[in-house]
Amino acid sequence: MKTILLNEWRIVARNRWFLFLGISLAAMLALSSYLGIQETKSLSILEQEASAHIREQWDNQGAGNPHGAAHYGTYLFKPSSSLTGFDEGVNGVVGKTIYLEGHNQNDTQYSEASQSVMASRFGKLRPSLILQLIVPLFLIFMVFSTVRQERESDRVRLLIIQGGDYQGIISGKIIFYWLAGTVFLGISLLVQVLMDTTALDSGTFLRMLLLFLGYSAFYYIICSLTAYLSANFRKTGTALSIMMAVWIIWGVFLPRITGNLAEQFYELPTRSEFSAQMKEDRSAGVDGHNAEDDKIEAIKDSVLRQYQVASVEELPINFDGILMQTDEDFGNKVWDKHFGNLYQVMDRQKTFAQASSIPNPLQSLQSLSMGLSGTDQKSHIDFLLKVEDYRRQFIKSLNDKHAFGGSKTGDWEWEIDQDFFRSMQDFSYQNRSMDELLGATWPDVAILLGWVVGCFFLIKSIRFQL
Amino acid sequence: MQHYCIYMISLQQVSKSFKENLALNSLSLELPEGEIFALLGPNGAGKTTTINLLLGFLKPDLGQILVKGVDPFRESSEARKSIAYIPENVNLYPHLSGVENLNYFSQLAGTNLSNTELERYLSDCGLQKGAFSKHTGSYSKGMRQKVGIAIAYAKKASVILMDEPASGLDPVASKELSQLIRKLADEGSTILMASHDLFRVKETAHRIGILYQGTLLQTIQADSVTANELEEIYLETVSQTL
Repeated sequence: MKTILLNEWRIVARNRWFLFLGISLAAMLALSSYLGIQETKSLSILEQEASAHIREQWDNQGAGNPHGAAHYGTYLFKPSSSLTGFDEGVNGVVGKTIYLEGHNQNDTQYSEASQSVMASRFGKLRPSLILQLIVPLFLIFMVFSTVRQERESDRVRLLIIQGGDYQGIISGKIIFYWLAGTVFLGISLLVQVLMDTTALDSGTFLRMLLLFLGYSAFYYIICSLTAYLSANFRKTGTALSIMMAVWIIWGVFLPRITGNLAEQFYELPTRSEFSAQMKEDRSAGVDGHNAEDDKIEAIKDSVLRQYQVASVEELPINFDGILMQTDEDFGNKVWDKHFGNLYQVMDRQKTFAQASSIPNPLQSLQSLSMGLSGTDQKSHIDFLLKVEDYRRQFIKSLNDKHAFGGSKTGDWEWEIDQDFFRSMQDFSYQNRSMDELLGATWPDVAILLGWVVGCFFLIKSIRFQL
Repeated sequence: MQHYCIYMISLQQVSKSFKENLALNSLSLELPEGEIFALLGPNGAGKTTTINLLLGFLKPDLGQILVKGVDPFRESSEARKSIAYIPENVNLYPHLSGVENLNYFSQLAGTNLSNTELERYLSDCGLQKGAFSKHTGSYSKGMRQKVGIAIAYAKKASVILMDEPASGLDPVASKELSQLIRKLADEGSTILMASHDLFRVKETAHRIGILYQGTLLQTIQADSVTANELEEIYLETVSQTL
């Protein structure tokens, strides 16, 4: 095996075209890694500056009415995971800025795709794009070329008679090019390590290790399939044509077909339908700003009974704050119902897409890569849910202060000292834990492993035939 | 399993068909140690089929084949230890030098040779010293055939199978090749070569078998005839079967 590997290395190293292609690819990867990390860093700095500015404005708003502050709201930015520069995932299309306010749950906004023609049409140049589409293409051509040359030059008979086992020769070639693929992968991860040392905690290292294993598995699949077809088809063009077709089907058609099928089977409401349903359900709640609302009476009676007084004026608290929070709680239930359904449908779509990627290991790799990079749809939803939790606590703190901070009902001019606003905690987002990640990505891992095992036996079945 | 056999190559009543085409018809042949046997015949006579059967790449439909007492199809790994093969075109790795090619093929055969040994084998096989470290992509066909023979020589194969080894070589290179083949036989290798070059076969082989449409029509001692006589015998034998 060592002899075969060394020989392949000599052949590649002395072929100017192979060398040129390999170096170009490595440079492209290093550059895309560098650009990805730089962009993520710059964006993070901008977001940190903007967050600090918003916080400063919040802290220095002076004394004010707490519910007024809830309407004033605040902005949050979805923090980039340390591997966003490796795989952009859905980040480019979902937006990273979210406005938090009372009464409303807003979605993220200002996505890059909505602001950049390049990003919306082609996606961003990230190492993952090169590693998922370009490196496999390179491996297909290289493995095809080396296996086919042995057959067509009839050198293979000479090799076998000299004592080379055909299966061993093919396996040696597969291992060599698989290693070459992992070198490309290593380059982009190395750039990641060298350029982003601050973010490299053990979790990130583990994610990088799993990324390495996932991509390595895919490269083994690509090299093995190409070698198998190149070794078994008599006509030169057939093996290459099939592999090119496989590459196009895996990379272009199947992801779109499964995506469309997932949307057909598990349909999401349109944005207008969704908003209309939310609005309708939301209208059944109390209107905290409308004292004439009939539903207020029942709440008022309950509070009056609790405080054993006859009118809201006699209450030691501010009834308006309670109404605001009641309205908020109702809104939260409506949100939970509609968004819960929405996320359930999205979850089913994801499960469908994962299951239907059994014939397409590239799709599993893409899903795994985005998941581990913290840029998949699930990570985005995780962020939105945690933001919503924070928003609820944030608004509740303000409403509670309005209700129980010392003001009386109807006293909309009441103000609290700015120290209260300063005491409010900032939002801090933690990426999904490794357990959560593994739980979500195991189907992708299982499919890739299944393919690796299948390819191993496929190669074992190779026999030389004249 | 190695059978006791006084012949290095033994074919007994071997037949081979490809679908409806009978490629070999009950071929029997026995080659003792150190003999050079040439299978002479036109294209499609069954020469390459015979070599592929001996290499273990094909299974005979009928009959028995033994190479140094071992069935090359059933015990291919064992049989191939004593076989070397020189095809019509020795296709080496063009980006490797003659020395590197020889080294690689020798390593596959389980032999680790020093640089001096590698150069000596190449030199013994007539390759000029200046070509040792040049990429074989720049070699002529004759030079590549010499490296091919060096590969067989370095393997110390007791049986060497050659398929049209002199095809396309100029007269000088062709003569050098004949001398090399003789040298290998003198050192104990048994050589079976397939060719349709009457003159070269007469120069090189000890015995010549005329193979036509899968049948061995006649076997001739090479030193008992002149080249012209061989040509006459060949044409006469072949025409009788038409």
